[in-house]
Amino acid sequence: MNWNFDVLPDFIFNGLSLGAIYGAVALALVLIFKATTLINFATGELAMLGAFLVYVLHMEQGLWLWLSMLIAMGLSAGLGVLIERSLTRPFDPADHLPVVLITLGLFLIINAVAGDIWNYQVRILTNPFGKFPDWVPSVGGDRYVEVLGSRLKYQSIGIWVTLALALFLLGLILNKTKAGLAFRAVSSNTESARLVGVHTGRTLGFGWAIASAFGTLGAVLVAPQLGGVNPNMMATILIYALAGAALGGLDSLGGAVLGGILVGIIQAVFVTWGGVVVFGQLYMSILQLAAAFLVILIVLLFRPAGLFGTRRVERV
Amino acid sequence: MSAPLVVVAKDSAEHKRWKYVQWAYLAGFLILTPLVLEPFEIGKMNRALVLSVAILAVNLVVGFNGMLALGHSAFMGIGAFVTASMVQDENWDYWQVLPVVLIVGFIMGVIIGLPALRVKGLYLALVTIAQAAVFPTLVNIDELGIAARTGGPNGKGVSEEVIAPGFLEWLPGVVGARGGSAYRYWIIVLMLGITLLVITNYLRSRPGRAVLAIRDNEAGAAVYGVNLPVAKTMNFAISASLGSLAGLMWCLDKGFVAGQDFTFLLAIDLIIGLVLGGVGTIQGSLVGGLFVVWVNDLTKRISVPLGLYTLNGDGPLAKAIFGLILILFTFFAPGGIVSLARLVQSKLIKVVPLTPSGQPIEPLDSFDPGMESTRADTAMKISIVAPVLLAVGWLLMAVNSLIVGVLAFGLRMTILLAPVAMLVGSNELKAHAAGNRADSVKGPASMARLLGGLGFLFVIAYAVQRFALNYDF
Repeated sequence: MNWNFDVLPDFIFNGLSLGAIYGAVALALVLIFKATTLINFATGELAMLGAFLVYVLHMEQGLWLWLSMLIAMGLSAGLGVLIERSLTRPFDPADHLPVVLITLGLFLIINAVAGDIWNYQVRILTNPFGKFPDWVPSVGGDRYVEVLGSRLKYQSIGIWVTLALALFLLGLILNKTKAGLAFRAVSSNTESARLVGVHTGRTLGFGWAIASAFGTLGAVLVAPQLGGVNPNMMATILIYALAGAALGGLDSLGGAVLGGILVGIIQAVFVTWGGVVVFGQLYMSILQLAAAFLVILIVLLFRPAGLFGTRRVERV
Repeated sequence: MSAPLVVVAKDSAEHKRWKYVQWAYLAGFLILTPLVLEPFEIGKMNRALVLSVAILAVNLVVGFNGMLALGHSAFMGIGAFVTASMVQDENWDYWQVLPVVLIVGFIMGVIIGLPALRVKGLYLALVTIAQAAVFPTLVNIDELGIAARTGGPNGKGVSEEVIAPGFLEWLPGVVGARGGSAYRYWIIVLMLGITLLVITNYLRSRPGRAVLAIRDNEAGAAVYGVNLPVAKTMNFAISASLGSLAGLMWCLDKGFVAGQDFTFLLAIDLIIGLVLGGVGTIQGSLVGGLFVVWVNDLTKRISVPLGLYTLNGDGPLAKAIFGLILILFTFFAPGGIVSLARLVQSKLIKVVPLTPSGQPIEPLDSFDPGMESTRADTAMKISIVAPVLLAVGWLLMAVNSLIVGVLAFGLRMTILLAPVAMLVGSNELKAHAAGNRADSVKGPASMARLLGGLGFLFVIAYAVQRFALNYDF
């Protein structure tokens, strides 16, 4: 066994930046789960559609990348509201089957339509952190800083800063605005919120909107790591995000982010680095998805509410 | 015609007669399938029946226990790979693999079900969807000889051919050009039949009723002494075991298994079949399997030019059509095709249940419309319309278009209503002889009896002719 600790920080940094993205997608899942107690299995596909909107706006129409990201986030938020209003609101959220079927149907439709329009080939999307202004120090042309003897890429830092900003904004929206207050009221108790005059329908739409925007952000950030955008890009990321959401607790926003990051670290450190240590080869990376699955199983076995979720008390 | 055309007491001679008609249709359908269809169409039928078993497995959890299991493609895959590996590498027979597959599936079901079923809500959905996504990647692992067993990314073929032994050559269709697929068809039908028998009995047994009680009211079931985790996990494990059986049948039918066959998309296909057929009904699983394969086949042939753009069903859009069907059924027909069929059936026949002493709980006379009966007219309309539609359908067959082809098929099938007209006609004539109908009933009723009888004869003659044609009498 070769305990190669020199490369460990590399794997940790990689896991942290992947995990941050899983956290963003897990946050999209949890936002919708908190509002409507349903798991939106189309989250990944909505995010993928958002990434393709960025692709169209930025690569084809030549808009500025960050502007096209904002527009795409707005558009997918609108799509989220539309889906919530037209497809999921008619159903009783306590009855899980119909809403799960609806989201599965959406999954198929969005994936297939995107596949029909853009094919299944990977299309390159500009890396938001591919270019830095000249004042950012570089080492031999590569943009990174040395931390613990390893190279921490500016791209990772960029992802963290962006997501931290987005989380800060989300915190402001949820804690300082009236819509955020309504959202917290509805997710805590829909019936009581309705009784005190909160527009529950509108609030659920609001939850879907933020969730779709966050999903899009995650998809755009993850695209460079996958080589670009393609209609199947979010299939595995959704599984990691589900594992992250389950680990953090399905109804905890902070837990979702932390859970996503933990899943990223587990994936990078335990599976990839551990595989190198134990077997001296990288092929254990096939097991990354299986590790996410194991995380879900173990969490459910020992701590069903997740690390930060609230234990549900059933009253009959 | 809101009132049903026929009212019979349960288990009366007339009720039995109606049941015979239904059984005759089922038998005719089963026997004619390997005789009439082309070999590749029999292959599709086989695939549909295999999917039916898998959908029944999903139904056991989703429909009868109210839990959300979305990942049965993985159980199918496990069954299929175990079968392929044992038959190909160890030279076992398929029937020897059968108990192994059932046990392996059961154990996998316990492993996956136990954590997920302890908690309520959407957790099982979460676990099973991850399971469906993970399975195809596990097949490719080089370690522990897994890839050698499963064939890795290339898939694994089974070279042993399934050929009818000499003493089974009397089975319809087994001899001749369609031999192989027809014989596999009969094996699959046999396994499906046994599965249906076992599952219906299971659902009537003590654990089965516990499972239904959990679906209807979990707290109530617990109060009555049902051990919730055990009952749920056992049910899930039985369902997983059944899913593995479907995998074995898949391997038997195709002779080739690959990880790409058992992806998340297959899992969604099963869910779609479940919803299309009818959640929580045994018949729904059967219908669902047939419809998934049939719709899949139809969408592939869609090609609609829209200006510069051609709407092409033979590409990614096929999945979009499935998604659309899923959403539309969830909105407008949550009971699936079975509920629609029951709606139609309720217009045709009403079976009055019996009291313990053997009397109908409502006297049959209270359903009798008496002198104002319009049943004879309705029966006459059916007896005339059915052959006309049959003829129209036959003419339309010449038009080589997908939509028209489906329409023609549907029109031709209306002839199956002929015995309804015949039996209603003769009932009305009997009532007239008993002085319970106006004289004006006599004409339409005898006409319905005559035309309906002719139509029924036609159906039988057609079946016999297809049968005879195959055996070259």
